[in-house]
Amino acid sequence: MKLFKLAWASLLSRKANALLTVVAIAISVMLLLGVDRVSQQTRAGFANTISGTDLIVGARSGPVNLLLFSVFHIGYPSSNLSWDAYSHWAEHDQVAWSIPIALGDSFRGHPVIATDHNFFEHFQYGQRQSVRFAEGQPFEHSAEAVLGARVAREQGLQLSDQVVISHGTGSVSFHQHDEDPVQISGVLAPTGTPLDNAVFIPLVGLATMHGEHQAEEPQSPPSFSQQSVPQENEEPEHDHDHDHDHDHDHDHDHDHDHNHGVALDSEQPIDSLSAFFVGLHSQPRAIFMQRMINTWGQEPLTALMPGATLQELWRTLNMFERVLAIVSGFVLLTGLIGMLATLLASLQERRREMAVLRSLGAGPGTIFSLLVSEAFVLTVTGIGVGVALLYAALYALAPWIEYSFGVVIHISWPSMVEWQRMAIVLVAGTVISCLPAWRAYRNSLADGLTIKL
Amino acid sequence: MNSIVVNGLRFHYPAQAEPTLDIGQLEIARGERVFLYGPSGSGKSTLLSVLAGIHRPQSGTVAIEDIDITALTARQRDHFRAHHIGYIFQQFNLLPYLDCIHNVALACEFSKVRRQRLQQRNISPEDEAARLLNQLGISHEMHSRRASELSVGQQQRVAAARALIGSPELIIADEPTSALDADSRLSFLKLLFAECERAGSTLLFVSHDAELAGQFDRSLSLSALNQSAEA
Repeated sequence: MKLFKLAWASLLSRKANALLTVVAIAISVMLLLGVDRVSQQTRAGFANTISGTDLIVGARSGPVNLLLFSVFHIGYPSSNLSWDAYSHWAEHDQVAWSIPIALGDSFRGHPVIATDHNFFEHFQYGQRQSVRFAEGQPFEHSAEAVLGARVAREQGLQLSDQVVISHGTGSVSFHQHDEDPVQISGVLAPTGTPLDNAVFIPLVGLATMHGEHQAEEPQSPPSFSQQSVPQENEEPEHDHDHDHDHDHDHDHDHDHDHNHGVALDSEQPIDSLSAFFVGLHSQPRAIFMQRMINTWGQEPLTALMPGATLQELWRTLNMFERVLAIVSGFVLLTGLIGMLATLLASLQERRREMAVLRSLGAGPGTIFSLLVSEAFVLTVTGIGVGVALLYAALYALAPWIEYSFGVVIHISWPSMVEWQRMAIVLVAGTVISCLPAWRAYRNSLADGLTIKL
Repeated sequence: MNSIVVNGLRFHYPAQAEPTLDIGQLEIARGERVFLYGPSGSGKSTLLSVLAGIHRPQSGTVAIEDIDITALTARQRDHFRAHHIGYIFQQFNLLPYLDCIHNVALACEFSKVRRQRLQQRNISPEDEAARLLNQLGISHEMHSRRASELSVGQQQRVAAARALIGSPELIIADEPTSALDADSRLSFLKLLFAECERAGSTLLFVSHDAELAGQFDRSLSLSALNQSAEA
């Protein structure tokens, strides 16, 4: 104890050096734990994005690409699949349910997913959790939309507000579907998945915006094209920063939901889809179904099993994670070498101190443990500061990480692995300090009671 | 009663063949104040290291307070030094990051025996440190100052207080006055003598400054004692 007090007082007298050493160790500990923490959270976030879906089917493309755009809303489908192909497989004996999705539009940078009621009934995430509504209900008309939790929060939107969807993705779009504002019918409860960031509209609504049904295509069911497509141009009630055409008639009349949008019970709401999710009656049949879809002669399709492709995707990212871990390992090494250098450099100036302690009856072993305990104090402080920095950074950056990467960072106590890593740092720091401690030991034996000036 | 008895001492450093020390006999009585004169290179530091139990001679016996320290292990000798020997260096005696009181009390931290001696008199190490510092002319307001803020003369007096605290039997002073000017040298000696007398400690004072010899009970020349070729 007295030794510890002495080491502490001695350390305080060399504040600048000690501080730099602590900072170096703290930063390396923060990186070491932070890299692990973020990759754990990302992994968990990945695994939780989709659950209960046996197959995802899209036009022929790489499975990772298909997974990325259909589940994570990252990237674009390279081509679409036809509604016919979808209805063929949706009606297959093995298929319990299917969810068609069409992508490509956005709302202020949030991806817009055109789908149907099956989505709200069957889509699951996390541990087989279904999508829940925080308020409102699924869309009933083509001109209604459901918002993900974060979209509603960030854009400050509520039920019955009207929004304008833009063509293409990206937060700045020059082509707005101004003529077709949609009304918010529901807001989803937060899921911690990319769903939170999405806007859901009915397939018919997407088709309407893109003018499919005004084109009176011959293959469209007649019942559908005769449906009244909104004739008057509604300007949203709220003044969004979009390039509205102010020549519009300002004579608002919102009391006409019945003719503002078409009903959703059409046979073929849209001509082509980006992908569809499939739930099977028997999950083990997924591999056979996958092969059948992949080798189907009528249209080139790609079917993937989400679990397997997620793993494949994770392996790709895992390399990145490993590189980060190696880099942070080297940062730690640098921090420890910095401490070693500082301790070794301090030995020369501390030879007098050692001689004084020897004259007072301290043995060479005491000198040795004095240096080791100093390194111990430095390392423990460094680890403590590093962990504090990590949590500060997590608190500060979690919203930004969620916003930018869709990864929800849960701030929790250090995990077993993290405690282990901290222990490794502590042991490494203490072991490394044996080198200067050994030199001090040798010095004190050789110097005895002579004071080197 | 003798404080130091050296017989047939031969010591050489591991790398050297010729002995650095070769002393047939040396006796210093308890309570005696001895001046050991030696020019540099006469083996002063080595002799003090042997007496303090840092180095162990290859042959001969060294008895301090009737205990043959050559028979002790290195660890036992470290403890023996902590309990029975107060040591004053030429300079840089103090830990710069501790204040005066704690520099002095530090000697008790390393020695249970010194603490016990104070306990028997019902005095805490800090109180005794304060008393000694006052006796040695370090006024009360300086006690909480850090050692690095003191002048060299003040530092040496704090060092003397540390050597004396807990009344060790033997005080070894290795040229403690060489960094002081003539006036403070004499006043330092006087204070040191007075405190050694009060504590009943033997004083072995080493210096190359022969002028001081007259102040002591007895003076010895290391060159005469040490029969090794170098001297």
